[in-house]
Amino acid sequence: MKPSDPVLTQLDQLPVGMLATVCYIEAQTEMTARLRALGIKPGNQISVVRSAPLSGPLQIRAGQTDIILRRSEAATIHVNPAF
Amino acid sequence: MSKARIALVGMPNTGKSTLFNRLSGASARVGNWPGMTVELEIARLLVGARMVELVDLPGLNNLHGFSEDERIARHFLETQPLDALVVVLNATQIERQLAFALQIKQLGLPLVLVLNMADEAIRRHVLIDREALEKALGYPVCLISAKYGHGTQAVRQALEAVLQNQAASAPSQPRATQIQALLEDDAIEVQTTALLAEAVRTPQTPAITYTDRIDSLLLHPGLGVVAFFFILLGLFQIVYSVGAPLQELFGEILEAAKTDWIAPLLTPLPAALTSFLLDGLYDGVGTVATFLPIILTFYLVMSAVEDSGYMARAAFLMDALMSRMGLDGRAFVMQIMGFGCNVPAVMGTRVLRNPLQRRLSMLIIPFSLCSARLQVFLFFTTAVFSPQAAPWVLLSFYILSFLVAFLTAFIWRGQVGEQEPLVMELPPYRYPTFAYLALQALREAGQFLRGAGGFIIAGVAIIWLLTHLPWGVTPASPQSWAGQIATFTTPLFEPLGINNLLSIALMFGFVAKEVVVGALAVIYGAGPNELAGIVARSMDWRQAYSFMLFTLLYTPCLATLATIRRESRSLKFTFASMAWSIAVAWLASFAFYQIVTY
Repeated sequence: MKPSDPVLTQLDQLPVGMLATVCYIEAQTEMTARLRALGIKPGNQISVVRSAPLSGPLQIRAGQTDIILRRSEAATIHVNPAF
Repeated sequence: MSKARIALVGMPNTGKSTLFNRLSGASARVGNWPGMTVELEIARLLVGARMVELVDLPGLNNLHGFSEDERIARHFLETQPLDALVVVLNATQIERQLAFALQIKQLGLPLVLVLNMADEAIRRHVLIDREALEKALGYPVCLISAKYGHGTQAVRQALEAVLQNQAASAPSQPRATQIQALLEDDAIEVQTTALLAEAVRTPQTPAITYTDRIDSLLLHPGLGVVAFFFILLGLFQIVYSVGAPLQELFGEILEAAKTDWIAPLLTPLPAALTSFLLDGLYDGVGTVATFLPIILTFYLVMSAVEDSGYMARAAFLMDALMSRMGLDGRAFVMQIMGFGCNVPAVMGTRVLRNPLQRRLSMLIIPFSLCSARLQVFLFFTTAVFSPQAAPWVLLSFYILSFLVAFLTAFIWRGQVGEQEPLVMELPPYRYPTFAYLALQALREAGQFLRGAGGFIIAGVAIIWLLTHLPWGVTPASPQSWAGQIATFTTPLFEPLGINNLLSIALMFGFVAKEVVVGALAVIYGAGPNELAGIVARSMDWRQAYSFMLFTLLYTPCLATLATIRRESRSLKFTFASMAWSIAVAWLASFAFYQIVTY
């Protein structure tokens, strides 16, 4: 899937509770590796469980794992929402 | 047979250290390694007939991660001779963690794969076919619950079997390059998927768990923050209401032992020597000892917060505020705990894995108004201020304490460098077990004794010498060395409204804030009942407030400094943090006193 695909959205824009498939991650190698280790990698299904007050971090669910991620990092993850 | 060395590796939050403690009992100690700048925990244990040295490596997300912990663990694997590895995975998350085990397997070392939290996995309907995994991997696989000790015997047996089969492999260049080669993950990916399909069944959608239900309250944007402050208040109350009285009681017992038993024994000795032994050395040892109850209480409470999974929630809730100061939400918890006692709070910054972030946190914790400083403030506010004004004066110090800490963090946040991204697992809630908490607390207390004890005793002895030399002067009088220093520094303290006698008391406060009031009694030659009256007559409210402001900020006690040195492993940083707080204290008191007397 190309970056210009209109269906794609950034993870920080994904509505709470909606499932989405990770398409690609636009981050440094190090960060990508870390996200991959936590289960956020292309092809995996993830969702936003909730967000912290005052534009704080997001709680992301990937499989059996919950992860805290700041919005700025979440914006590097491009996902394809499931309708 | 020669000694074997085994390393424990695993991702963060897999219960790796719990297993380490299970296997080692309480025999763990901290060891230094050639070519490595950090200390790692090691323990000796008997596996079968063989002595094994077990090393607990920091958590790794993968073999080519770049975090501080990952660098340390990778460096260890590349350079140290090892006979085998124990790879610990969280069984509930085997779906994403199995790839890590396969990466490790490529190192070519014999290994035992331990799937921890097997009980939790069953509750979450994650089903694992142990035998199928074992067959596919070619190494033993154990399903255990380290927390409850289930299955740890099987781990020992598996280790014994693995060690019998293999000869030791020395560290070699090939292993380092193997790690480089691992940068290609794709082959492992394919392998993982195949293996998972064969041996693991996970539910399609994760079931709604009790953790989700608790989190809907505790992580609620409004109620969650309220709950957070109530939880903090509760923790603070426990440390404060259990630890502080214990500390006091301990101090009284030591004091009684001093006057009733030890002093009579020393009467044949010359008076000066007796005084040095009792008021210098014994009190130094006593100061160290009285911190033990508070460290024990603190760690019982803090380990419970960590092990229950709430620490990650605190980071989630407070991150928006703390990230603006270069820190994350966990630093906020430590800041609050500093209000009980700075020493364990500084030790607690170990939850921050980035060393620069830790230093920033250690720089601001000493501004927390600890219970020892509170004693000084209670004395002065009651002596000098009206009963109506006193509570407000006290409140103003709490507010100032926060303000200075946050301002300091804000000013120095640039030193942390580019902020490390917050990528953290939010573990499910778990019951902490008391035995494990107690073990943790005892270990921390032991480390405090070994790491900070000598420094504190030396400091107390130096202050004793300053106040008792030259021989024959009245202790802490203007003729003593301390008094001479105070006279010398008069030009510095006069603009703050702090007189010579008070600045001698501040020198005592360097050792511990608890002794400031007692020192004043000695300096003014007053009994405990007269002191308040003398202090009230000798200074106005401006001088008193300025003195308290200086006391709040100027330097934490010696025990805190010793702990900062131990934790930062840098004398330079320790002195820099002290210089910063003295400068801040001087400026704040100067500004205050000049404005109110203008």
